[in-house]
Amino acid sequence: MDIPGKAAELEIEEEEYRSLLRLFLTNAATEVEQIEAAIRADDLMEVARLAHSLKGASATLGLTELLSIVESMDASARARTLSPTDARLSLLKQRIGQISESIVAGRG
Amino acid sequence: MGKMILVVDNQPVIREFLVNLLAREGHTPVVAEDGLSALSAMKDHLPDVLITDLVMPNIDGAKLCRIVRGTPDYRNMFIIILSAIAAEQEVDLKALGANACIAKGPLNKMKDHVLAVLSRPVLDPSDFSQKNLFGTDEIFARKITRELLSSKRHAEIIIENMAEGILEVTQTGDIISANRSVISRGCRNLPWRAPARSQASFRRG
Repeated sequence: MDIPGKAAELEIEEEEYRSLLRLFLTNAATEVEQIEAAIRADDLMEVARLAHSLKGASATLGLTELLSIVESMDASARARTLSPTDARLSLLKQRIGQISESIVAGRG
Repeated sequence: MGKMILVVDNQPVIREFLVNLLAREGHTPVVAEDGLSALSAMKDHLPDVLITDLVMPNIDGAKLCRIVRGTPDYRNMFIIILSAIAAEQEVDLKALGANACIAKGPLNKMKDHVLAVLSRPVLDPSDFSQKNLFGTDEIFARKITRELLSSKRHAEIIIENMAEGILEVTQTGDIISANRSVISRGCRNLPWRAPARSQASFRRG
């Protein structure tokens, strides 16, 4: 992930952007797990609420790929075609993991 | 002149970003993660400006606005809605009792809109003009959002009109809403009807 490029695009200091990303990551993994649990419980309102939170933060931080994955999953949940084993959940976790690695490695 | 500003959002990224921004601009930010915590925070720090999300657990942004507008001690508070919903559906400021609405979006856009509103010479809490919508130029109504809001409103209308008294209680025992039947039976000491000092502290039992 190009962290300096994203920070410049969002007109924010790189260090502050990294700090916000760390904060995002602290909650994102938990929220994805909660989305999985809500899908298993067939609780669409909860899926929509969690997706809303994740979408808001992704859009704010310019994480457009995460945003489109969550939007797509939210739409499928509404159409009742989203299962707890949906490949997009794995993709979401993978992308979140990659952002985390970029920060830990201090690269990007 | 710096203002006391209460930021209410369950998303920590938004809270942190706004706290940094507002502090840099010479304001005094205070944060809360939902409407219930916000009411508690208001007891200690009466804000000049309330910046709140709409979708939150416990007391949501719409209920929080209703409580603030129904509490005489808070009548001078200027309310700014900051929500992702604003990018998907037009927000009715007068119905909410809010003075401005900013759509959540990229940090730089959000920053520009927040600072533009706060830099006005006068923040009039009685101005509910629909001109005060920002970042909503490209509203694209999403079916999902409409359904979410419509389903929420539908549930609220049913609960409001049930003959049985219905209370919404948090895990810690705080009553955060009650339907008409409860109110008509004389239980009036709920958050939006209570004096400011006792808001959000009415407990079960």
